[in-house]
Amino acid sequence: MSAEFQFLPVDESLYSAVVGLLGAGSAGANPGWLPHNVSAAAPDGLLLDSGWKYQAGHNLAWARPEFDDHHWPTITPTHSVYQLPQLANTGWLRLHFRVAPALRQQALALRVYQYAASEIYFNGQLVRRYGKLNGPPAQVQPYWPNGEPIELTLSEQPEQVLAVHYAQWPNFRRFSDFFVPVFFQAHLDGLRQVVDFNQREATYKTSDMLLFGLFLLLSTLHLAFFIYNPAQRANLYFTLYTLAVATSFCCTGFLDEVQRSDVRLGLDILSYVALQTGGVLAVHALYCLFSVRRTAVYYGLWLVNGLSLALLTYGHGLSWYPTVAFMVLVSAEQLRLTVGAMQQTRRAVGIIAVGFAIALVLLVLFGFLARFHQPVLQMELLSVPVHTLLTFPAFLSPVLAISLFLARQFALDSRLLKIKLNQVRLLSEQTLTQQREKQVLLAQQNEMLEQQVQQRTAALQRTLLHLQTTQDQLVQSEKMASLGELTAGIAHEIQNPLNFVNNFADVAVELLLELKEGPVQALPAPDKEYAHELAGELAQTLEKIQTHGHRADAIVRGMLEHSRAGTGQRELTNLNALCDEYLHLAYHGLRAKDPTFSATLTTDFEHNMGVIELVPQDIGRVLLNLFNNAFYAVQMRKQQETKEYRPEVRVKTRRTANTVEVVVRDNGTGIPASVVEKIYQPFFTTKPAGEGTGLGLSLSYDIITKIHRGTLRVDTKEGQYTKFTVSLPVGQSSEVPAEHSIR
Amino acid sequence: MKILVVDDEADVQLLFEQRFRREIREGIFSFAFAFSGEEALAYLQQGHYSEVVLILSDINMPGMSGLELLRCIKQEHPNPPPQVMMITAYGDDASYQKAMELGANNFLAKPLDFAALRQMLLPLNEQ
Repeated sequence: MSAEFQFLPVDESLYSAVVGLLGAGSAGANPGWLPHNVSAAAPDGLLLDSGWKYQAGHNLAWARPEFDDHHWPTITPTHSVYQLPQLANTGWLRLHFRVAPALRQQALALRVYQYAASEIYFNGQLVRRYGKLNGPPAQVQPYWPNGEPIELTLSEQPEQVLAVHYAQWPNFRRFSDFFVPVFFQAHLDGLRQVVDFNQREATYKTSDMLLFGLFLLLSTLHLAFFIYNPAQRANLYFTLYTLAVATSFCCTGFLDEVQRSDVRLGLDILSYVALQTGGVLAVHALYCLFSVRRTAVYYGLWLVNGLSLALLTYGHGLSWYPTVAFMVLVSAEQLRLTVGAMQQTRRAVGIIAVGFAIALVLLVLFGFLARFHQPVLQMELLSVPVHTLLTFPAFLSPVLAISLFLARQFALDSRLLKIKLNQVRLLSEQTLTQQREKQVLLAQQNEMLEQQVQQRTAALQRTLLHLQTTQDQLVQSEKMASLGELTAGIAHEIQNPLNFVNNFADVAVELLLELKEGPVQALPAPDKEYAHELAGELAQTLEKIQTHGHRADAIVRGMLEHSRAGTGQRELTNLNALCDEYLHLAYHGLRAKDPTFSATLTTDFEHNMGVIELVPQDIGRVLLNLFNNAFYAVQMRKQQETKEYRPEVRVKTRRTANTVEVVVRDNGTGIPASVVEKIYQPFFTTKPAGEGTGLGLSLSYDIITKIHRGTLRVDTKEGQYTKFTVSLPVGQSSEVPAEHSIR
Repeated sequence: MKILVVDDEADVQLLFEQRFRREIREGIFSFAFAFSGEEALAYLQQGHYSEVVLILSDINMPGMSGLELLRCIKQEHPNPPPQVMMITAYGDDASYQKAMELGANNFLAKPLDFAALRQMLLPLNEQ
């Protein structure tokens, strides 16, 4: 752009130079021929824009200085071809000018700008040929000399003659006077002006190339952003935008290096196309960036873009205002989008806003200066012109702002990504931990399960053992049962004959009594005495038969009781009452036989005994046995010892969680250690023959252990005490049904 | 009073005759003996049914048991029913229950206590 701007200031400055230098000697003021008077080097050189003569034709003789051209019509070749309709395809331009003698010794350079092909003759000498003039108009090759300095060798005469043989390229007529602003422009400069001009050109080019480079860099950067993150489409359009602007600056920067005018014109147009299209692409990028739906405004922009470019290219007299207008539109749209985004509180949209604001302020300032304080723009600050200082950041700031915004977003996104990554890592760690915990839990459960299985197995084994024991007991019970039946059978069979023995003994005693009272009285004395004696002995013998018969009877009864044990039903029984009842029964039974006997009865009954399920007849028999034994023991000791001995029988009941206990303790004779082992054997007794059957404890033991699954323990010390402890299980007694027990 | 004693043991006859020697001699009791249930039934059916006041029967006998005999007497000759007392060495509940169900008047256990039996029989004679 800046290269393009140069025309305006250069034109202006040249114009002012002409006015300043020539004063009233302007070409337009003098009719007819009036040569320039170059008397001093103007600060900006001298634009040779007046005093030119024109003639169509090919005559090479018209190059000679002495040729009289005063009848040729005048022309202003610095106008555009559009303004010079009289120009033929080929022709000549001639200019006479004077140089002050003081200046003739200095080096003077001619600089030419043209939209044509030409041969430059100075004082009759061909000094340059620009482009190809020969042939038909279509084959003419226009040439852009870009104001290269042509050193002029001045003649001794004060008047110098510049003759230009030109050929037009007809296509230039089609384009607007913005792209083809002049036909032919010659500039006369001193050495200083040439250097200044070249420096300025270099500055423009440098700033163009800098901008080109920067935009290309941004373009590459955002292309990379887009390639690595295609989701952010804004990057793509931003890439295209910056690429377009870079193209524009590239075209502008290299414009003056292109010598072929037609190509140069193409590049020139392209730079504007790229610039404007870039603006639309920037709008597109903003649409993407702010996630705004594209509306008719956007598509309208494209339309206006095309229109303004057409106007710029083909419309005459519009200068660059189509582009300016379009860029204002684009800026307005960009501003609208930015403001909209700011209202939606998009984070950091302020950056873009600031970018636009800077650009706007700078451009407004530039416009203001260009319109009202032109020279200020030409001033240099650190050898950079003010207008470059203004335009350069104006172009760059929105782009940099958007780029910064995108970069910031990218950075934020990547930071967010990092945070999310961390979260994911944390989550996965948690998951891992949970899995580990689950595994641990599973292992624990497995272990527990195994333990449970072991426990169950153990329980099953116990049950199995219990079953085996029960089976053994059942087998034992069956054995005992059959033994019991056998015993009962034997007992009955013995009982019948025993019945006769006892009864016939009784009868015999009665008969003997009758005999003694009756017939024996009738016998003579000696016989009578003898008969008495015999009868007495017979009576004694019968008594023995009776005694032993009754003894056998008692044994048989015991055996029958033994076999009959366990036939009773289990009932809920008050054990305390049962103990009390049988204790007194036993005591009074003994007192009935021996009224002199007395003993202290001490009872200590459990209060919370409740009722126990047992066979009351059987347990009663056991208790009776134990009490009888106890009383017998204290009675025996009483007979052996002194009066200080106090017989005592203690009965205690206790209940634990699983058992009930009846403890019967006497302070009698005790049981000798040698016989303790035998006390439960059937028929074992320590009582004199006839007094005990030896079946009591045996029967009790069976009742307690086999029928009630309890225990019967004895603790004794000979001569001091005997303690029997009956322990019955509670709640398990029904495990083995009574009918399977011993009968 | 005529008493029929049913027992498979032959010695029972001698025992009863000696035990109740005085009562027999005095004509208070007169005894008839049968050594099986069948024999007892036959004796009763020979026209002695009305004479017999009391039947003392053993339970455990070869052939017809005492309980079967009891059933025959109580169910086939219901009127007038003689007093029937059962005597058994098996003083078990089952036999006792059975005998009572069949209508026995009493149930005695062996060995017989003759003194007690005498005390039991004498009031019957007075009736």
